Amino acid sequence: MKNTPHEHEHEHDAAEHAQSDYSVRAKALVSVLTKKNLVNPATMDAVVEFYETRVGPHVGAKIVARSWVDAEFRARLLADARAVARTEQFTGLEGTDLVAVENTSRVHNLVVCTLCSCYPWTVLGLPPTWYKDAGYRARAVIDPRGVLKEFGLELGDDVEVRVWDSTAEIRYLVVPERPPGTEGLSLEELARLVTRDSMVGAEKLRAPGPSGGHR
Amino acid sequence: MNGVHDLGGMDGLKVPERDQGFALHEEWERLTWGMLLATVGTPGLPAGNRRFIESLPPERYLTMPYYARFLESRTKSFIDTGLVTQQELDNPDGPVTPPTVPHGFAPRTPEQIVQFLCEEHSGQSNLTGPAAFAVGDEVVVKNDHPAGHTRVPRYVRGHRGVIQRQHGVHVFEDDVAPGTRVGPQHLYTVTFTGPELWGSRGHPRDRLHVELWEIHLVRAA
Repeated sequence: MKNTPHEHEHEHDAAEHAQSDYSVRAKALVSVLTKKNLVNPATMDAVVEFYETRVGPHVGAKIVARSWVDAEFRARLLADARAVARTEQFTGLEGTDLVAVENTSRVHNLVVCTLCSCYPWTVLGLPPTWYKDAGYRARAVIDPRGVLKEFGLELGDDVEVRVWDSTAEIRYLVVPERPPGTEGLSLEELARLVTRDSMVGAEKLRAPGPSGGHR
Repeated sequence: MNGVHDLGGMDGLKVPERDQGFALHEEWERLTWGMLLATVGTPGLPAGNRRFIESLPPERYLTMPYYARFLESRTKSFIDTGLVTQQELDNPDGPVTPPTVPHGFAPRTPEQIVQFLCEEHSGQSNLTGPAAFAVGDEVVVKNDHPAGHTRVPRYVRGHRGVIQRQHGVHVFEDDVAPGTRVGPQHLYTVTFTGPELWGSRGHPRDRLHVELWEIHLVRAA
């Protein structure tokens, strides 16, 4: 018998136990490293703060929004995103060798790292849990259309699906299609429509509804 | 190595629900990630240890939380290099012995880490040289199963693809046999069709792209 309420409880207890064990081990390692002056705790905080506030999907969203309104910028971005990252100062760790790929009505791009969890930190921040999940990594290459369908996006057989498996230092930014009904919006308003997952290719952007719809 | 980490194409795993929000949820995850980036790449401290993670037993790899793999590998690196002992970790409030670090060692400061995160970290080498392949060339991925770390996923080995893009000369990331050396190599994006990789399960309009180094490829007959 699987998944009886009783067993669920056990599984839940086991997961809780593992979390508290990791907590004890992480605190012990950090405490010893700090006492030995091998790490500066303020530097650790700076790392987390950097990816929580300074560099995250809002960086990619601004780039995408600009590519919708500025054809010259879009052309440069798609031709050589690495050079654009340098001149526009959004280069850095995990994203220096950046490549931008565009979604159209005929082509849909999806990014994955089957071997680990490579992700364009410089434009999207740290990868979400689902991107690092074994199921996503396993299935994105053999059945990308099935994965996208489970994500809520059904693509026609006439659409070419391009999957990018990040095995080297090249990092991919998907430029999603501009949703309809956004003609009058400002750059800032457009950027607010661009979701993190659309820049990995996991979803398409919808037209802005009355409730906003930004996540 | 043919480790569990090489997941592409494996059946039986569920597609996850897409979580929203910041990646670091638990306090121990923030500690682990902050500690890793604050220390990795600092002269005198251990380098990253991807090999350890890839060598984890499959049942552990698949059930451990993501950041636990890094906590475990980083802990092992500090113990293996003698900078920290298991006794110290077992009694973190107890005495510690001074670590053996290079003269003048100081841990990274917050300003230094922000600079490190913002500066360029390219895989591209300063070396140049003629490329064996050009965009449009048909190539076959060598069928090899090295015991060490490799960036060639199993699902492309022995398969035929087309050079889609050249990236110049990049640092070679695979392990090589002891005593041998493989220098920086031309790096290419190689495109494969769905049916080429997956037979009848591959969609004819799927295109899979993988970065591979020149040494991994031969010209298609």
